[in-house]
Amino acid sequence: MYKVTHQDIIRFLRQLDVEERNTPALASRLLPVYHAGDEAGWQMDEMALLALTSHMVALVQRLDSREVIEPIEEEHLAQIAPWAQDMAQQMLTPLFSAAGLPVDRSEVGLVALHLAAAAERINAESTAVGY
Amino acid sequence: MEKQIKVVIGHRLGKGQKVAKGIEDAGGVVVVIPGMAADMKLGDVMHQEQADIGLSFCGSGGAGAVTAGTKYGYKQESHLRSVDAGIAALRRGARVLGFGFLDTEELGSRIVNEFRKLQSEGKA
Repeated sequence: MYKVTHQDIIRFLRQLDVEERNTPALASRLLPVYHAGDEAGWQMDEMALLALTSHMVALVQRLDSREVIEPIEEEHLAQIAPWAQDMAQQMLTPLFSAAGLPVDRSEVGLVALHLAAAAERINAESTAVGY
Repeated sequence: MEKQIKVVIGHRLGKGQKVAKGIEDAGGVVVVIPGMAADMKLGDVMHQEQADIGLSFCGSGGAGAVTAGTKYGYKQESHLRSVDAGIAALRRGARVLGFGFLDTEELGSRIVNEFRKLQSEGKA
């Protein structure tokens, strides 16, 4: 399993061309989110974490600007693996609480899709090389 | 015969059909990746299809665009919030564009038309 550090997140943020002066504080906000995922047993690798970090940068911007994302229809939410939704809920709840906002189910769904897609890809790659 | 412009669409929720229609109306060829989290497969399908352009749609489109750029070296821009922003990114040389949830025919047709213009100018 990938235990993400503060430095890892800064590295991802630099790859995403986030302004350098913002990276330490942003990494500090994201670290508990990633630790929650790790403790919940997520399956992530470098590529998945970079993609998730890209998503999280936009999510944090939405929280700070109080922008509400277009709601995801129930029929789509129902297709997302329950384990991934539960994990995403655990990961995001502290972030939303710190912002003084209720957890947005659609935001949970979008992060859950990252988790589910990463797990599916990593499992498929493991199977392909005969592990 | 002029080679048709090929665009791959990867939408987090498996949508993108309106953009696809716009692409086809403008004379382009489109591949819409089916299923949820399709944006995460954008780079793979672009590579497989030898596509000219990839469009990623999610909260910011960044994840799909970044993955495509990291894995295959496509020049990408994300966090694009309007059609005009996408056109500007295309003019700057980006070939993978990451948007929010912007499923419109206008996006599809303008992207194809702009790319065709860039080709005629020798810039694509």
